[in-house]
Amino acid sequence: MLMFYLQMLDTPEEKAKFEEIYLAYRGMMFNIANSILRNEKDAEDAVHNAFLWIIKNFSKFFENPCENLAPLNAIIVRNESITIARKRSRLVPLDDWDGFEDTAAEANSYDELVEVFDQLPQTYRAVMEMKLVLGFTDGEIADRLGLTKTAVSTRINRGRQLLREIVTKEGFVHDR
Amino acid sequence: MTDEMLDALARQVLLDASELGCSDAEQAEEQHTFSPSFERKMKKLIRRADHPVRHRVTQAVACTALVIFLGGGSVLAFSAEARAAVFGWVREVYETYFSYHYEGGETEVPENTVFKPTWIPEGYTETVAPEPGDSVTNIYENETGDFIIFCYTYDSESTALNVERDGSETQQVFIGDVPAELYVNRDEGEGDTLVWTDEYNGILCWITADLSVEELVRIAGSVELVDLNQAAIENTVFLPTWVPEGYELTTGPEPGEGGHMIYQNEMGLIIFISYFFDTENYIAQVELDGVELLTATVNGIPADFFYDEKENESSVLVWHDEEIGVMFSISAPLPQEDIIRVAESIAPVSVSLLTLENAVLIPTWLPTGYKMTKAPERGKHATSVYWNDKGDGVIAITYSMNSESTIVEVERDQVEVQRVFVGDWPADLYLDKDEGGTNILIWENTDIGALCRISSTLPQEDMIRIAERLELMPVVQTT
Repeated sequence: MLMFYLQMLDTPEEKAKFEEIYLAYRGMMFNIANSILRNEKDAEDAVHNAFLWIIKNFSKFFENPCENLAPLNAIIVRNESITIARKRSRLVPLDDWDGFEDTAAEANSYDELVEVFDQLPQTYRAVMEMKLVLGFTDGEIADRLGLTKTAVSTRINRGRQLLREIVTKEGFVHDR
Repeated sequence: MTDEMLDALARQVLLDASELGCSDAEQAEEQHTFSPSFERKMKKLIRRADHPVRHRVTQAVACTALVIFLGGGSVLAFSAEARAAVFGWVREVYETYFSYHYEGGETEVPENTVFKPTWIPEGYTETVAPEPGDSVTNIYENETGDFIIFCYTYDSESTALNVERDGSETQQVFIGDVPAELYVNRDEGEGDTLVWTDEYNGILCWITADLSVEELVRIAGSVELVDLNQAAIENTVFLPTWVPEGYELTTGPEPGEGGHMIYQNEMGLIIFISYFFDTENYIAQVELDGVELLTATVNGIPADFFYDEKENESSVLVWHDEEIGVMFSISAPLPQEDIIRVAESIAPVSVSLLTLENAVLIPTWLPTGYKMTKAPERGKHATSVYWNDKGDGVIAITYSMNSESTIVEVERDQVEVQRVFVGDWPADLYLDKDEGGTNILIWENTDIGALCRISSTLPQEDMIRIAERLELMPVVQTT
């Protein structure tokens, strides 16, 4: 119930911060949602769900520095959009992990690493973002994406393994 | 590198990767104008941000409550220890009853909004609607005469609630995180009462019904603030009850601030009816080239009639019903008297009152080129058929009221089965293994209690879209 969510915003300052975030990012979040869902009504639902998530996890959300708020909002709404899209159809798209892994291993710097992860197959990216950025449990991720817990765990481990291989190989420049 | 360090690095990489797409999304060519319903939902969240904060309930004892005058009741025994004061609500325990009253200032009562449950058990319909005020009552009733009574009152020193103790035991329950008192009536069938306080909005609430604790708590947890003006708009469509013979509804109105519907005949001629609730969001325009402006009336309301004398060209009738705050227009290649007859037959229909006994299921969206060739008939089983212009595509929509005699069979060898969703309803999609074959989508519409089926050669996305846009429409009389 919405009134209970808002009881979690304890001070006028917190409530004002929420409104500021809403006005600053709702347009960007809608565009991201619409690019996935191709349906304005569904995209608005995704944006609304994203802001509800922010309210429910307000203090965790504002632990992030300001420069991370835009990409964090993007991640939240992208994964709300994917959840809505998956509800429409139980079909899970085939992710070409092997093909991706071959090209990903060539990354030699942090910037290249970021570009690699920007190209992660959709399900892998969604699983890793939900787990490592948003803090969902494996069960919650499985439920949202229509996967088994094993599939979720496999994708997280593969992502971690790939990251470890890239950053620990000789010649990798961690220039961030 | 430890796992924790790796995860921290992965998190930052994912955030930086996400940022790559942000500037494109921020600087998209066309900025979206959010729909009125989205703005309302977000306003609800943000509006409360401007209200002063109230302290949380920290005591485990149930919040005090104020409701119903039972009148009288002398204080035979008063226990100071039983007094629980939270936010000015005081509950006092007397020998034969609990008494709740408020001590302190008053909360401003909002206009045009009420609190009401958004979930009620199946089988109950609203018989007393809530009206804004200090004390509000909302009643639901089922076929066997059972009631659900939801009431609330704003904090005021002039009201008090007394709940009789005799014959009832008291239980502490929780509605989410909010503590509540459940008064269980030992007289079976008399109904239990759940009492709780919404400290943020300054109201005392209670529900009395012969339901399980879980159902009472679920109803209580579903209570939300409703804008009555908006609720009326969202639950009403306007439909004509007469159209000339041969015209069939091909596109129906959806509840909202504005709607339109299209009736079409075999020759492809169209009656286009639209309406808008008074709002700055909509503008109606009529081209004056080649038309003559005449005056007319619709049920005594002055109307503009833009007459086009050319054969098969549409004339337009426009009028504003000030009493209900709706602007209407009809565009049709019909004589003036027929257009006015259609106009005068337009009536509001509450979407919530439609059933398969007085309405039929009609798709409010179809792929371009499809039109109805067989209309559904009112009743427990019905089929409607839609063909496309080329004659090589057909959609059949069938529904049957839930019954032990309803059987649907699909041959297993020819199809691949997928589980999908039509809105929130799980559905089975049978995809023909032959490309271009007929696919079948089957689901149960629990709102109307019917098994629905769509058979067509359309792709999955279109079939689901049609299914999600099936609406109950009253049957229209034709002559």
